[in-house]
Amino acid sequence: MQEIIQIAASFIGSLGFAALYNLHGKKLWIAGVGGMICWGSYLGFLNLIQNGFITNLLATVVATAYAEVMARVQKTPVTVYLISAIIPMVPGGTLYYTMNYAIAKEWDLFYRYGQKTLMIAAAMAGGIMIASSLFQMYSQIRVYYKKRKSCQKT
Amino acid sequence: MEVKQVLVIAVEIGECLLVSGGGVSRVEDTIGRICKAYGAEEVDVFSITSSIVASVRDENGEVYTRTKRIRSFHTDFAKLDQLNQLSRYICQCQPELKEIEERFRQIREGGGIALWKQALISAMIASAFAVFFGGGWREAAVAFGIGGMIMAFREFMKKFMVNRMFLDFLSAFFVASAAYAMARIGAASDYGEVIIGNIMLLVPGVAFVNGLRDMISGDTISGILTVCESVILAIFLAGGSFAAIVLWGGVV
Repeated sequence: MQEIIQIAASFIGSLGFAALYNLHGKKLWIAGVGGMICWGSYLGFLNLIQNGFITNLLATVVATAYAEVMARVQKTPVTVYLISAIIPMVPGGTLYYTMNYAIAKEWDLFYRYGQKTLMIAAAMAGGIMIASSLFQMYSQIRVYYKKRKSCQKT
Repeated sequence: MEVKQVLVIAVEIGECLLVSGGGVSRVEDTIGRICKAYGAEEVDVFSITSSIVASVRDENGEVYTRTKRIRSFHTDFAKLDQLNQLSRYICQCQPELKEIEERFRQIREGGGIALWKQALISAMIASAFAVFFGGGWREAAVAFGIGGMIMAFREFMKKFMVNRMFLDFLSAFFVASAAYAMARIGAASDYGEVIIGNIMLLVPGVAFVNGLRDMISGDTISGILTVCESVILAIFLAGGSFAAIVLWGGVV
């Protein structure tokens, strides 16, 4: 039940951010679905592998792949979908808990949550890097072969 | 058409792209393509998040350079999308300068969102994330109210040209104080979820993701600048709510 609520909330959150950044119509819904897919895949991977870092990384890869594909289909910049899709992963919650435990002077928990915040940020960075680099490589390869084909024709 | 005039409009388009949240590599690419499409022999564009430098050489060997300093950002995906379509159109059809200017003016002056709509949307985001991080409907309702207020507050403070870091500190302080007060009266059972919901609203996600993407495409300088800036902003956010809770809660 908690999972369903979270997925619904991530949809509304991503939709909200896309709307706040002035996106309209069909593109708005695509952005919202991106957030839902991102969090859904996070929960799915969390069930399969109980490893925080890899789960975050894979969920970011899924979200980035979704954004790259949708950007190519809709002919918009990737940033538009990527930012809205990745919003549920942003470690705002752990950032708050880190600070909270610093106030309470519970240093063990402070270190654990601080580590978690940095780890999520690093996993997001890694996920985006992997997925976008692969997509960039793919489009470069496609351009290369198209050029060769057109050269052969002439 | 003269390369000189093309350079002027191309840099303007690049500036608008950068302000609206397009990455540095996209800006460099767009300016380069537009100038090439109108017969520039050589185009060199260098851009970081706060500045653009573009230099072109036309067929007569004349060299023109233009620099733009960017001071403020306003993420707007609608403009980003339209500018992207415009630059595609320019490169494919090479329209007259008048037409480009007209279309560009329309995009640049295109309407943003009204303040009440912005406040409503932010309130919705804040309450969605309060629920996302485990809050009940009461926390969601409180986060809804605070989220709307914080956006109005930020728009109001922007008039006085307050430093960005200090504005974030103030906003986080305001959020935490309001959440703490509401929890004290008993409107929300825990102020944690309310604060998190609103912090998600303030976290510089756009800058962080854009910075990472810049680093991937090889623009390490602007990538590092942007990521650094967003990390500092996050620290200020945490500091603001920290200050509020320590002050009101008396926990030391």
